[in-house]
Amino acid sequence: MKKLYETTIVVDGGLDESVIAATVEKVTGLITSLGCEVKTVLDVGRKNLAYPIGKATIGYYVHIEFESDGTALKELERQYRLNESIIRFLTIILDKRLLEMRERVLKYGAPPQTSEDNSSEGEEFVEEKKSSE
Amino acid sequence: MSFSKLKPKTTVSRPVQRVAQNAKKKQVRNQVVFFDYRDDRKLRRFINEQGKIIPRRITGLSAKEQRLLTKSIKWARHLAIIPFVSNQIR
Repeated sequence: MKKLYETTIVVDGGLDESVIAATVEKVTGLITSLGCEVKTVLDVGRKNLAYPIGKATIGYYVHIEFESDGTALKELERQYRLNESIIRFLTIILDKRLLEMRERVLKYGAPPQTSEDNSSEGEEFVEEKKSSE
Repeated sequence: MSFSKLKPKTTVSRPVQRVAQNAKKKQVRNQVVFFDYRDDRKLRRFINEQGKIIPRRITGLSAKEQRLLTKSIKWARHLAIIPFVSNQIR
């Protein structure tokens, strides 16, 4: 059964733009090559880390949404660990609860940066959701 | 004889109290809560100055929402979006 996943990678912000772009491209390429379908790529950009990781104090955040049956995740995370420019990563299942909360953020909160790609997805979800509130 | 007279009194008085309590709870639930693990500004509302997660009795979230909140905060901490312990204390 295919599920919607979201993977976040934190690339060392001290690296050159070209290196960062290459790593992001490599990861998206890897996801597609493992037989998953990339839905959206949300590039947040550089942010100060809340605490230093190794020697890095700035991180470059990228959120990638993709659809997979779950078999590719093990290999994907192994590749993350091998890649030295990726300092942190997180892969989560985007379940109904999380999407509902995200829709609420879009509705009541100020929209996050470059969230235009996400807004169309949120609208689809309105039809599914019962008017519980 | 006296017991039968007392019984209805107690049953009448209880529901009145319950209605008042429910009304109070509904007022609290009216505020809309939202957060996203990717957004530090929204998560910072739910942690104290030390970086600890604020308990449910103060945030007023439902159990379901609080569960998602703690998870979100822990994800965000892992990604260095919000601190485990604030800088002032460290």
